[in-house]
Amino acid sequence: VTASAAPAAATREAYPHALIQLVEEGVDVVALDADLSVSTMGYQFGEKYPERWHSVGVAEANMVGIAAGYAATGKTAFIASFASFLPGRCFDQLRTSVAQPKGGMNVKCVASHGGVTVGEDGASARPSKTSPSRLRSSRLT
Amino acid sequence: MMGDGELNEGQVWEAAMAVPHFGLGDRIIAIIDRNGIQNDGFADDIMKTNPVEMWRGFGWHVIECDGHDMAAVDQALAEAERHTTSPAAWWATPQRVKASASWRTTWIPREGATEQQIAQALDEIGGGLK
Repeated sequence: VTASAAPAAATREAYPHALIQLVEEGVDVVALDADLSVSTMGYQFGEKYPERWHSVGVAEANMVGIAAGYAATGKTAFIASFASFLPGRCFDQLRTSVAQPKGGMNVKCVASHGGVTVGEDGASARPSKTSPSRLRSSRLT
Repeated sequence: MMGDGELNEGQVWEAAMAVPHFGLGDRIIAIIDRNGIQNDGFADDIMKTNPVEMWRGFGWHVIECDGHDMAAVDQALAEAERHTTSPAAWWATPQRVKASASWRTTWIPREGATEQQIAQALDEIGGGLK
């Protein structure tokens, strides 16, 4: 997807625009957030397509399971949170519910706020221990 | 100490069932600040539950009190300390929700309230912090 947001937009600013563009192109998108939709900007997609978005609360592991369920019905499921929580809090659910079913489930994980630190959000949101190598080792791309 | 939005997380309930099971009621007090709101909106809109009954169901002695009334807070904590046979969950009543009628129906996003929303809320609680 080439996001139609401003060329210099931050990744999270482009995210809801990219989702909207996918829907307009005919992709059956469902997007979920876990109480950080103002930070991931996922709520902007929800304002445009309320029937295709919801927040599941502070429950990242359940969000992965719900997304896998949507994917099982043929939808393209996007889930978004801070990298420290997705995959940080729900690595097992990603492995067993998304990566391991035959062929893999069509779930797109959008991990925002990666890097060294996230400033005032504090240590629990700091992603420095969330290594992409953890994902590659479990059939996740 | 936990917020009510935080009670969405499954790990909380794994701990809630383990504490009574392992007989730790004489050394753990859970304090829950029930302000009725979380990052993505109002707690009841995001995940409506009956958390008081849920804590009771897990075997906790739940004390509800008005978080604005410091005498009641003292009393609740003292009662919680006395309750050594089952864990005590000390439950503060809504703070922001109680403070202002307009904030009860307006989601203040993570970036914070607008100046107009702050002024309206201060008016509603009787001049507030002027």
